[in-house]
Amino acid sequence: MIPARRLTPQEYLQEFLPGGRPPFPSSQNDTRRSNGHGSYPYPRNIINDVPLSAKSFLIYKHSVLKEYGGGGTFPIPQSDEFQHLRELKSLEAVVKETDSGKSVFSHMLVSPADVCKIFGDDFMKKMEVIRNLVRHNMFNMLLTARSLVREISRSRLKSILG
Amino acid sequence: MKANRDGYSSFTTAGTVQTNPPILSPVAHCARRSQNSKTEEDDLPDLIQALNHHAASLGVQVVEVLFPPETARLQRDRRMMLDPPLFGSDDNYSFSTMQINISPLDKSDLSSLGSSGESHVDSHDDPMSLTLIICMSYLKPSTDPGKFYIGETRDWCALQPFSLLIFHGTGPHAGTQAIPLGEPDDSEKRINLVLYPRKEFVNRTLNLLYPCYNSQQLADYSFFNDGEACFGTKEYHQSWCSRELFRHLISGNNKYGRKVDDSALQQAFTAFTGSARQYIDPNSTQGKAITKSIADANELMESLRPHWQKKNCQSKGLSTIRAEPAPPANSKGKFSISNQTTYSDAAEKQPSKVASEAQSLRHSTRIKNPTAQLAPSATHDNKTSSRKVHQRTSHRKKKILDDNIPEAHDESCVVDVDDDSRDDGPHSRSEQPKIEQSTLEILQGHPLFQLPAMHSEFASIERRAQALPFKFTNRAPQFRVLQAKPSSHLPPITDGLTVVEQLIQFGERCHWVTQKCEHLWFYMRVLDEYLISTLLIVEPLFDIDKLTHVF
Repeated sequence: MIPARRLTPQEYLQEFLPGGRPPFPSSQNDTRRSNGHGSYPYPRNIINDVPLSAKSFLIYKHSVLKEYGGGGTFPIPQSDEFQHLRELKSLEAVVKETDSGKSVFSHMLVSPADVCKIFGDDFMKKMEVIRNLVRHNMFNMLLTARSLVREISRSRLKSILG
Repeated sequence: MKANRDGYSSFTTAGTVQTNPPILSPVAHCARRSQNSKTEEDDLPDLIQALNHHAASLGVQVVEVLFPPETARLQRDRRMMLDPPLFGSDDNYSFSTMQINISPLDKSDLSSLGSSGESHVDSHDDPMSLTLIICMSYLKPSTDPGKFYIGETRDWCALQPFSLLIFHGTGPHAGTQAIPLGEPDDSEKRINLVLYPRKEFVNRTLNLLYPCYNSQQLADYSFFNDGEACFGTKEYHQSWCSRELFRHLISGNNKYGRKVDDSALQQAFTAFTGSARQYIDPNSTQGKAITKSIADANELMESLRPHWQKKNCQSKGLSTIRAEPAPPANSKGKFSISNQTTYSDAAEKQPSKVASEAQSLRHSTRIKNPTAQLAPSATHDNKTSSRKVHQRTSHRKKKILDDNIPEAHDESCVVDVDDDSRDDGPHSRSEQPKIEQSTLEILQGHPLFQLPAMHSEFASIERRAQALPFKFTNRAPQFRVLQAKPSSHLPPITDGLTVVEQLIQFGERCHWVTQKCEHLWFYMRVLDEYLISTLLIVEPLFDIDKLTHVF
């Protein structure tokens, strides 16, 4: 497991000051200016630019990550090796610390429960619609005997799309 | 419907990078004209259009809430300025297209996804931008949903249905197959939507086909004629077309017309497109500031990208390269953003021009850094692997030369080339191979460039020519007669190229060759017959009795 430290949003904010943007969280005015015809707060930069919805931060030092780079192949671990590796937590933003007080965002997982909590039921329903489209229709496109499922696909597509 | 690259269950649903010519285009299977002769798939564009719209709507919501805000703003400003044909929704400013990965569970691995099922990087992604995975697997509760692995930090997560993951595709990553408890059920499928930012799109480093380019319309797919399904809705498609045509007009005007000030441009933009958006001229102060911020961000992220080396390039010695389509010569004048000082770009500038006319080859392999490819590791089996590589390279170059396809940047080392595909090869700069082999040496190893063989062939031709009178040798060989000229148009070269079209082309070519062979055979027989009949006429002249009688 590669050494990393975990911070709360407050701790992260104290240690990693916002780069080229308004104070965390961002102001609505900035958004309006960007969409409108007003002046732009440029230059912008992405240093310490992290998701505002993150509940915690996992900080990896970039120099340490380079040491663990190995041969650069990053093979997929065997199934029994995963238990020795770090499992991502939902809404935990993983960032790379490039220098003192400087970091860049790397990745973040959002679990189904948090997806539902953040985006609501409509979002979940839309996902189900898409899944049905893909499952019932797209996958049938893969089959060589498509004509057999064509009518079924079409009727399902129409029913899903309304 | 055509799957991406070497897999068979991975599909791109919107824009892609066509390699010959190198342009941005919609995937062929979403174009209605590609479905004309296949009534079974006439509903496919509708399906793709619906999928694109729904998925992009989700993506837009995710960006608003989950993306780092500064990154999202930069993406939005870039979108306003360059207005690339991003998929699904007019509010989408982060993702160029979508890929759907569908894997039934009857296989224990993700080989159906091709190279995407292995650990890989997506080097064609915009470095500062983020990829979104929306997991939509349909699994039984008892089934292990599979994992997603981030190589650089070595952390992982279970891909639970309806979970989301945002990450940089330019870093190494991989997925594992879902594992059922007992026998897999036919209805169970591992399904992931991958919304990603291809850099040629989001930075507009490549051109696209405009309706005025009539000569190319037959073979190439255009976002104007064929791209409605990519855009998700008719309104968005129409709106984008208006804006793009306006930009095209302004681009031409900047070249040849009189200068128009920004406020007048804004008025014209609003009147022409009906859009309330701001028109940002890339050459304006604001446009330049956006361009610089994007370039800085990309440079930063590229410098932090881990060194990547595809595993089989080391172990097997394969030196297959992925083609990076080059911007066309006239694309310099286009508004585009690209980070120019990244190490991968520096690597791209390695001497890799295989031949002057060698260009990116669709579904083929390319050499980025010949030295790295031909001598992947200075081990004892280098000779063997180099020979294999050499054969592959030679074959490829021959094909490239034969097809006369335009040059593309060589970028990375992978098994096959497909611009849709999400996997990429290594960006090795630090690991220089121990055995150096220049492009010149590679060319010299090619059969076409072997001087002794060429000299030998010339000598052979000259020997034969000596037997002929001057009036016959004075004529240059007519090789042109051997060049096939099929009556049908060349098949469109996109990622959605259909097998049927290819089969028709190859069938016609085979038919042409067999016909020519038949003609040649008859021609040879006639010549033989003529020679024999001539000899038969001559034979009586050597009759001794007759000659004695004559003299």
